[in-house]
Amino acid sequence: MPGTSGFPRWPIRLGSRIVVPAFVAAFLLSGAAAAYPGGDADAYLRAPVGATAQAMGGAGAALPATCLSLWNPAALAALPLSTKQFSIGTGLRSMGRLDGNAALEFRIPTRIGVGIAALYRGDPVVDIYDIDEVNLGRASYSTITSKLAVSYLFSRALSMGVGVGVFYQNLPAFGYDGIENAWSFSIGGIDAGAQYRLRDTWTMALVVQNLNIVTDWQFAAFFGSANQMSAATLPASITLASNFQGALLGAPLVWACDVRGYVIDGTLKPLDHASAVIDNGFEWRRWSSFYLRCGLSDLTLDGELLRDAPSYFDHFWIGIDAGFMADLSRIARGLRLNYGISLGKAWSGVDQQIDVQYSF
Amino acid sequence: MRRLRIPTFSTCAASALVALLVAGPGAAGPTSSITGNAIYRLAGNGDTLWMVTGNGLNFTIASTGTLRWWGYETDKVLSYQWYGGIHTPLAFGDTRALTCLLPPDNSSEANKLWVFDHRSGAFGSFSLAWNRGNLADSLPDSAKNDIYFDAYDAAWTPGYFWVACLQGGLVRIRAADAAPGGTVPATVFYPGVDTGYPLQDFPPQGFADYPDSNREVAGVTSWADSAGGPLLALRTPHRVWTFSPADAAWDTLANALADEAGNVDTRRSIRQFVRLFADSDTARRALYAAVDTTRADDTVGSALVRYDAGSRRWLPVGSGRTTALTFGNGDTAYAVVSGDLAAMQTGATLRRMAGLSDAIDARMVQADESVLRPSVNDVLCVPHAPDSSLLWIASNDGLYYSRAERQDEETGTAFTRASRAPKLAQGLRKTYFVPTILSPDAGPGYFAYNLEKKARVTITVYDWNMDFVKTVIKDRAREAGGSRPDGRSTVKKEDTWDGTDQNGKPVAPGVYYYKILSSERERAMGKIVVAR
Repeated sequence: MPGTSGFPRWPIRLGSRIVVPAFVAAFLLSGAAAAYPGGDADAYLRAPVGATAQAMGGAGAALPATCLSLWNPAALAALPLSTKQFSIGTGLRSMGRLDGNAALEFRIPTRIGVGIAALYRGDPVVDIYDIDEVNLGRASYSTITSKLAVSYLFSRALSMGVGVGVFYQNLPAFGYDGIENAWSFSIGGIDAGAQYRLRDTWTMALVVQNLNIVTDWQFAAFFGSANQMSAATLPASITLASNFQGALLGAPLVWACDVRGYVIDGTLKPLDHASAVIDNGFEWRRWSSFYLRCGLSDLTLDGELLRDAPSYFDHFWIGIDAGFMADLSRIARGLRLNYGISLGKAWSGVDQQIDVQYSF
Repeated sequence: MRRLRIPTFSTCAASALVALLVAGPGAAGPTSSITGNAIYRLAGNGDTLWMVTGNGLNFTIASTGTLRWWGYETDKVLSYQWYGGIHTPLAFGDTRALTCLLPPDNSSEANKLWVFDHRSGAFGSFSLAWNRGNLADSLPDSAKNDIYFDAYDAAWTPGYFWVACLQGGLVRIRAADAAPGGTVPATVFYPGVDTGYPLQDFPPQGFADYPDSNREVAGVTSWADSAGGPLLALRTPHRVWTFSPADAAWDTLANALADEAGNVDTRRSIRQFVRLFADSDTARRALYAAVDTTRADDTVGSALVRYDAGSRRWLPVGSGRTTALTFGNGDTAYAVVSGDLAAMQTGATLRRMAGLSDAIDARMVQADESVLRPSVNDVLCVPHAPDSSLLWIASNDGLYYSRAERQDEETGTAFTRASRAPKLAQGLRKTYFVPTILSPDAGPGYFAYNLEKKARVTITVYDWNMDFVKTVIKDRAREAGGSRPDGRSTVKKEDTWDGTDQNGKPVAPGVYYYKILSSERERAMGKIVVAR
């Protein structure tokens, strides 16, 4: 029986009553070993990209605002036809961590979307002490991740896309004669996404990211402890995302929700500590040129909640996020400014991102 | 409290005080603190002790009755990992010390010798410049490129430094000529050749059998001849030589190994001389060597042997890998065997005195609370009184010294530790992880912090995304740093992290963040690099 929008009702029921709970239950019950997701090779990739997602609890995979190639390749073909979009942004996180991102997305009529995005993350100031507590100066940790994605619009409702990435990391290490650099450079990280528009106000997406990517470390000098550094396979992430538009006080209210699971690694082997992260964000479009945003981020679910609840709640964290969008069309048509701020995890400070988005 | 007294030697004053300029790149100082806690080599006599640390040179002059340090932080000192220990060239005499520093470009041809004068406070470097063009044309380029004048060892006789330079033979440098920046006149003495050559003229044309791998001079030590005059003992791979500076005369010692009965050992032989130790005491006058031995079935062993001039044989006096040996008063000697300190009775046989050695080891562990027991790199006995010596012990975690030899033998508790302990401000104003970079071949690191008040502390580690990784300690009682000898609250045995998560699984390489929380509402965060 069709729904009010003309779409069949069954996907809605399927999505809200079966798929999402099953998704969440799978992570709660998975993993024989204790959880604690920290320390994986993709730690630097898990934070949300872009100020919009920063403000909206880290959610955004269903209809990402910027850096679509990094979020969901399927979203590229769902951009409005003849859209070309450029964005650039930066972020300052707690403990001196830095972000930077840039992206370009465009449609190729009539059904193809293409995008490329680059992401810098790192910590530029790390004071190094040797075993005698002698300060050896400062070093930095840098990563650059770049993804190229293409998407195809199969129908008004369905688009699918794929992407491939380049991953670079640079890390200080002790060499024979002081601090040297260890680096890894990998090409791979296959992303695949599917996006389905259940109704005009509701879009869902399923995205699998970072398949088949291994960080293999190299070292500058022949001598050096980094020669023995272990190669690491990045965990793959599986995200079920939703973007629903309702209304609040007569103005549109968008609710974005992502459930991001880590169950397998990039070679499809099960992780020994599966987990899921739930992000929720809201965007209230009270004014046409200024949106308010807020969110609750990083609600992590894993088997520890059922096996050892006190221990789970010892490390429990839920982020509080806020931000806005300002339409700067008075300056340039299609120009937008986004800002997001979050309470840093572990009470480490605040994380902020700002970016500029230009559609032409 | 007993005052530390070391008799002042009436040292030979230098004929000319060499005015050394402040050194060029690579040295900073002087500093009044110990430059590093990893101490590799000791040298000294009378009232002066020099030591090489991982970060430079230090010396102390103790005639004032108190232990004060002067030091210079330098480029990395040239150290060779060899024979289970670290070998570093260091010679001291008169008012100067000489060592070899690794150059920044890691080129062995550019090895610099550094000379420090503790009377003037000046220090400087110079290079041993030799002319590679002197090599015979008949030598292939590959052979020429493998010839190095690396300074492997150094010794002192009055007025001169002697440097063991492998294919460069034994190089003599007049202490008064040592000056920074440029080259220094030096003379090369090649084993078996009774004449010296100016460095820039070595090897002379037509020099037979050069290079000869059997005459690579890898070690030199000062000794005394039967008349008490200066003599040098040198080691090449398979032979020990003596060299008389007075007449440039060489002699070789036999390399026959004796058995316990003093007869030639038919079961094993000396494969290689690894280290020489000379006892110049006029009453004892003996030469010891750490050797590799080989048996008929090709099994390899190690031993400490003493040369008997009468029988021209090396008599076994101990087993194990001896990397240091020093002679105290009376019939006591101290050695470093496989990184452990051993006290031994000299004489026909050296035997390990387990009681004293174990007590010193326990003292080391107690003193620094390290997770790993520190290993000993060098030991030096300085005559202190007619019946007593002062014993210095260089370890990879500080310098230990005794105040009364007899007391140490009985109780083993009189050793004091001198170490570099940078002060940390109280109240968690500054914390760091030591070492900041966790390497694959290193053990766990520790959190250095200093509480304002006694409190219960929790230390937690997070990854780059601030996801929880591990709780290192939870609600552990810690003292305020001001009440502890090293000025910090860290308990090294417990406040450590080895790069694993809460499940014991190694974390991925990257930057990690830790948080220290105290029950007195003190809080700090810091960074760790995992590169393993």
